[in-house]
Amino acid sequence: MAENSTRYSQTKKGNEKDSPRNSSKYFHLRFIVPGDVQELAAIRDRVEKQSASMNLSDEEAYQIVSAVDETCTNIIKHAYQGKEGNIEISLKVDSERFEIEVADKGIYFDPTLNIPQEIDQEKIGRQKGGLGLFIIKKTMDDLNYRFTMSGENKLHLVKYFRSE
Amino acid sequence: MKKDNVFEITTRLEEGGIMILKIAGYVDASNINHFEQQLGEQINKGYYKIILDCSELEYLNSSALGIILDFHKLAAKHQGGIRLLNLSHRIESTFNMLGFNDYFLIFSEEKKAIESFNK
Repeated sequence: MAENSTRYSQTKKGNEKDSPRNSSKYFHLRFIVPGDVQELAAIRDRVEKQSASMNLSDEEAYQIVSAVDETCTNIIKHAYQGKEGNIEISLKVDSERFEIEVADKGIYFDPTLNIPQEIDQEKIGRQKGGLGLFIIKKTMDDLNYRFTMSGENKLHLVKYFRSE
Repeated sequence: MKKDNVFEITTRLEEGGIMILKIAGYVDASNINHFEQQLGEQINKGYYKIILDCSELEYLNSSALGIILDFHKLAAKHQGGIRLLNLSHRIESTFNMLGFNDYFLIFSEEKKAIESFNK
């Protein structure tokens, strides 16, 4: 059977009373989308909706959406290189952090090797690239890449909630 | 008016050859070429004083930021530049994070953005 363009599962956990953040909103959401630039808007929309359910600032929510969009764009461009393939996105939230894992089965592509340390506005431009990775690095607290035994690229991003 | 299935650009020519481009929607990898082409078209026509009205802009990816910066630098060589109008706080924060605020003048009033080209 052909796989649907999106597979969706969500679980909630936690106790509403024990956290300054509403823990009834803790969630683990996982979905799979085709690695296609036409899917980016729907991906952002889904991540934005999940972010909106947390007590994140508008700026933080945008940073998370942006990090996911840039990650998926890189996968489509560099890991799949125009070939068909899926992207699996996992969003996990608890009282301390917003975790994102993005996986694909394209060619080996470690984005952490290409992150510019500084942005040189004199040299930056569309063709030079690297700006998206710089944004991810700058806005996320943790950024880890691994290539799995089953041949998947997995990028793990974490944003910790600021203490209230 | 040029309509795209994901974003819309409206152009309006003001006195003094100032071109106002209103972008509504989002710019990502699905429509980045169209965005670059639209902006480049104005420059090619000789409109070097450009105001990007971002009041209805929801998302700009990093490539779009790079394109805007590139065109701004190009226009600045012709005594023009790109001014940003009504950027949402979330998009403006990305500009600031990248240090782009050193390059761009950002306005919340169209009149002031227009006047900035005459200073």
